[in-house]
Amino acid sequence: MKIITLLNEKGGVGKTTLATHLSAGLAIRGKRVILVDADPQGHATIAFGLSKEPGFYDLIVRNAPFQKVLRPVPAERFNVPDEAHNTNGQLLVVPSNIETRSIAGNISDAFTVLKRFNQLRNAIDFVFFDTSPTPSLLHSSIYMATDGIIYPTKCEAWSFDGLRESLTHKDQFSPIRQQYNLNDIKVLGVVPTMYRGRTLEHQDNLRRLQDTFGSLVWKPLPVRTIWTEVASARRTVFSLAPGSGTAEDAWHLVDQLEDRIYEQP
Amino acid sequence: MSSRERRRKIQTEDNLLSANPNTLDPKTADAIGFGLGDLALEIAAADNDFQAIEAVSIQEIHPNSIQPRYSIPHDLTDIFALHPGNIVDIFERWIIEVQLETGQKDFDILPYLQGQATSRGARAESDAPDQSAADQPLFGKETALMKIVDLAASIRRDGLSNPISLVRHADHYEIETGERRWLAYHILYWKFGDGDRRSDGSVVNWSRIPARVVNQVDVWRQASENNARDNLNAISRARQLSLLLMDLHGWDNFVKIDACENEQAFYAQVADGAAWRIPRGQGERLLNAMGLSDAGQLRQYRALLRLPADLWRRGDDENLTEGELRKMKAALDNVTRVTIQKSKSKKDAVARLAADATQWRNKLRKEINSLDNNNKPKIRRLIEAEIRQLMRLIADIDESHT
Repeated sequence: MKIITLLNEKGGVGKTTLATHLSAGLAIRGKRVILVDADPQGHATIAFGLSKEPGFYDLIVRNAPFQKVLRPVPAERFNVPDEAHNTNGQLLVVPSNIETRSIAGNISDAFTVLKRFNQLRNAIDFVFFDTSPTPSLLHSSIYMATDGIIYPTKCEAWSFDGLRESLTHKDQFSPIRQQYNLNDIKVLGVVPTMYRGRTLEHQDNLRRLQDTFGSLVWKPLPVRTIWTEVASARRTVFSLAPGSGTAEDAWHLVDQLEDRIYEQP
Repeated sequence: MSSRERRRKIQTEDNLLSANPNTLDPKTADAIGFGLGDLALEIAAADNDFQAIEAVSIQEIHPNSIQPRYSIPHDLTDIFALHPGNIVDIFERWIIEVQLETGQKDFDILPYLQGQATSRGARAESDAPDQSAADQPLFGKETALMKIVDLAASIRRDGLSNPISLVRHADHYEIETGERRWLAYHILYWKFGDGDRRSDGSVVNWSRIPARVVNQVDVWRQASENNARDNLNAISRARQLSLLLMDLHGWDNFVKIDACENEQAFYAQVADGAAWRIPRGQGERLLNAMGLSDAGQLRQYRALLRLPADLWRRGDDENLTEGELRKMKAALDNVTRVTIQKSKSKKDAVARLAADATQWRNKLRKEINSLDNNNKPKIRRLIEAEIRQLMRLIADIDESHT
């Protein structure tokens, strides 16, 4: 089981969209995937039209069994229509609601999340955490559980600030993880989102990203209306517009993730 | 799919601005049936293996009467029964005893709990071990108290990484493992209450302790937990061996602890190695559970069960080793020396009592002067405990004269 976290301490940069599509993409390719909505907004939950209760808080604080909180996403909501029944993969969501913000004050140690998800290490291939932009003790607990991080960012100043803050916090956890014999968290990628290639501002900022992070920067994801349609339809772009260029872009993201997960350090 | 078809699909979803958007409720989502198949079974199996951790009120937790380790000196448990309502009284009294024992009138545990620099810490840092060790002898009650205080300070600083384990009864919980962690929570609740803000900004309620609830006390699990943590003193190890032997021979063969004259008598029921042999095929398991390497050590610990009562208590309170206890037992066989020692220790006890009583009188007077109705039952309890202690000492003195 690999645990992957989507992080940027700036809101509205595309964490949720990326989380839903990367998890759905791997599920379509036959993997057993859990998407944990760790943002009190619960948007990864409604992205698939699921109910927000019971959720992450119940799992971590009330010790609800996984059977109670894991919500399977109906195949027609995430899978490619004509291939809907051809996959052995599963996509399950741990929903989130306003209670999620109280988790931090109710957990006794930083290993709570790791311990809970470790129970499923033989049953599940991937766990994705879609996090909230505001750092909290819950983030610490997620840092202790995470194998790899993906940083979505807009090519804009404030997103860069959020990105820098996030990277600083990640580094602060390195010594703590070492102390407990956990490997360093792998940075799987920095993903430029909502990219407007015609503007000089975005072009310049993309170059800055590439200068700083080199090959860690994935192919930029252009801004498209279809991403908002996908949200309205409570589906993935694979399900709503399978033949579109945007679906192709999304598959490219999944490819890049798979390349980097399995690549040897 | 054309853009028009996409728009149609979007229209079928409810507007999220409406009060109750028609999201898939859990039941419908499950019923839509996407055949989780094997995965559902695997998730169910993972759930079954999980022992939920609950936050249990420290006041609902009672210690296990046959727990091998006695964290609190016998003097104190003679006065106050080890009951959740008495813990604060025990620690108040304990602190005063340490003040008397070490002559540090201003000794207080609060700076340690707050992680501030202390004279003890400064001594450790000053890197002149030989001299400072000679200047500052370690006292039994201080050492025992500081073990729990240090544990409390580390829990306050780093959190409780290992939940305690409890057995649920009709109206209370019984500790299987984690008595000292439970005592540490009592200290933290006493000093900081609920809503304590730690240095990392998190807020903790010390009135409830994270715990796993198990079906019944398992002395083998208890033993492995005890070996994995702080090393037990020799007397506690003897108690642990006794419990494991009783478990191997069947609990029905033994009198319950409440029916025994004192706690030692309960464990001493298996002192006779010929009558209560280690059952065939269980030697290895017993050695592993005790964390020992050879059978000779088992015999030595079993022999401790027959120690004279005062040596047993002293060995436990002062953390004496098995070897020290064996030597002291041999020395005790010299009756004349014993008598001299006894009368000397009685004299010491009387002198200590006098000093102790003065300090207590002052403390009680101060508390009575600031008396409000909330404090009345507590003061009454303290005075009653004090009278019991005095009566016990008077009886001792009478006995030593006869």
